[in-house]
Amino acid sequence: VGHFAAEEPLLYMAEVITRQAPPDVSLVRRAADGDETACAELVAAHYPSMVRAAFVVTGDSDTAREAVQLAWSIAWRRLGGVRDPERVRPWLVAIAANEARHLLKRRHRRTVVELSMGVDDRASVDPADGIALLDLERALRELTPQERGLLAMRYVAGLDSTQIAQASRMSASGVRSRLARLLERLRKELGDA
Amino acid sequence: MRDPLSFEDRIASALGRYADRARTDVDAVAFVQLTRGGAARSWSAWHLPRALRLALALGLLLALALAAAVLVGGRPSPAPTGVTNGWIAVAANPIELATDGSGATAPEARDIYLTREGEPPRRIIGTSDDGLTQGCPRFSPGGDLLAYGEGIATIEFRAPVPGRAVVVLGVRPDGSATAPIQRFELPSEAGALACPTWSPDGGRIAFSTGAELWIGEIDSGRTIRLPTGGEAVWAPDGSSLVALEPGRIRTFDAEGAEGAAVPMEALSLQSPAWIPGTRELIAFDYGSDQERILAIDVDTGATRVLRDDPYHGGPGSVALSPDGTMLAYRRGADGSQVVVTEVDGSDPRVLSGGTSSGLLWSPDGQQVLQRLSAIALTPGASAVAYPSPADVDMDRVPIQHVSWQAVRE
Repeated sequence: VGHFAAEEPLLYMAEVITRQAPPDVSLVRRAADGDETACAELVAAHYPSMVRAAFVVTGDSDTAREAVQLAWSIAWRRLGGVRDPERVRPWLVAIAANEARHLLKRRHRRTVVELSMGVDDRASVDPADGIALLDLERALRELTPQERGLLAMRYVAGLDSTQIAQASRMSASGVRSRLARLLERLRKELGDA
Repeated sequence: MRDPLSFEDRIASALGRYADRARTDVDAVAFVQLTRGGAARSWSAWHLPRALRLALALGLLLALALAAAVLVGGRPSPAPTGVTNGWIAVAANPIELATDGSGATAPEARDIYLTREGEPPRRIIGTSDDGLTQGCPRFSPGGDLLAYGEGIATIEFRAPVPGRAVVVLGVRPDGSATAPIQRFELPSEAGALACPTWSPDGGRIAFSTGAELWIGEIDSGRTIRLPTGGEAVWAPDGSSLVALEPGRIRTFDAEGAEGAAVPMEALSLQSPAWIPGTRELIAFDYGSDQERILAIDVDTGATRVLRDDPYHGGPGSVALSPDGTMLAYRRGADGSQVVVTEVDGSDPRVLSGGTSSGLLWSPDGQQVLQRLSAIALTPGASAVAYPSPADVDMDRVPIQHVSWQAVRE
């Protein structure tokens, strides 16, 4: 086995380097190079977050999924230009939220469409937060798609104000102040004054 | 009373439960499309039912519009585009008042104004003393962004402009501008003012630096340089850019990779526009003995003459309606007739109200703009004069310095 000796450390080192890199970094680079397995892994890793964020904007699963489909078509084209692959998740979520917003505008929908779930379920109040989904949905309808997108990015996808700012062409302080105003509106709408 | 932090936590929890209602599973077909498709290949299968419904609805609307037009004896206007007309952006140079009180035109220190019916125009970009030309404003397809070319002012627009850049900023619904969100600096040598062209998805702009065509990504600021000086037009799906060079058509994909060039008869083309749903462009051919409006097959280079009687008055001598069904062009010895035809050049109709400028369709497809005066296509409707900025010389505004915002409600 002596003639393998020189290769094995190299293979081992390559594996260590690969393992040490943040998972999204190597995935993004491989996907941008056209590696279909990496593409599949990237979709599997981020699709749910994107749909959840888009759903808060649209209020409808089908529209949210369609928005995410459009978002991926944009993401594939721009993947090679992502400057910071470690931050691919906020980037993807933001594209999904933006596409959801654009899709609503294109369809002349000014409000969130009805949820397809039982009335009882919507009316139920979770003891953990004390908010009925029915009330939340009603409050969301009063917001613009852009405002719902901000809420989705912050509270559903968990992006911080800097990440949202980078994705939505606003300043971080602007994001924080808009979120604060939105929370205040929701507080009034949901009777938590 | 709960403190704001606890309410924030509660909202986060409730929104999380709300988002849990979304279906986040990816079915097998969609997964393949997502990972392999990209925009062009994945769209049809994924959206087919919705697209069919939309096509049927649009077809029905078109049929109703045609029937109504026939009933009233008028000729049909383009079908409604589903958008309304927003702000009109105009790049014009302010008039400096001479000491005797007469208007004296300033050097080409163009600034950008917004105007619309019922509201006074406002200058949103540039100041009288900044020494800069800001020109070629272009609203993004979504209407929320505005791109424009910038450079150090020179006396003549066509003279070399040093210090060039293309700038992108946001336009709020009230017509105010945000701070620039992207700025593409051009090479240090002087050249013509760069006029941006938006990709259909609004994610990129293309602009000529003279010897090169650049693609700039709005989000990342990345640029791709293409070795062509030809006038370029985006494919409707945004996947490629077609450059019209003398005697040939060159195609580049969004990453700059070039396909095979296609030879073409025409030598000097202007104002190209892609006819939706086809592989053809319309363009103004001013390089042969007879000026013509052509349809050009981008795959074969074959040309069809749509009209052989146009007047060449520079950019905007021919304009394709937003829905791609009609042409507007100028005719007559001095170009003062405005004519609209079907997209194949048939059935010409002279509109009342002549022009001495290039033409631009309104986003809703119902008006043809000549500087800031619009001719309505509806029979019997009067022309609409949009408010001109009081301190600018509108006669010196070529149509490439006018852009009309599409608002999708």
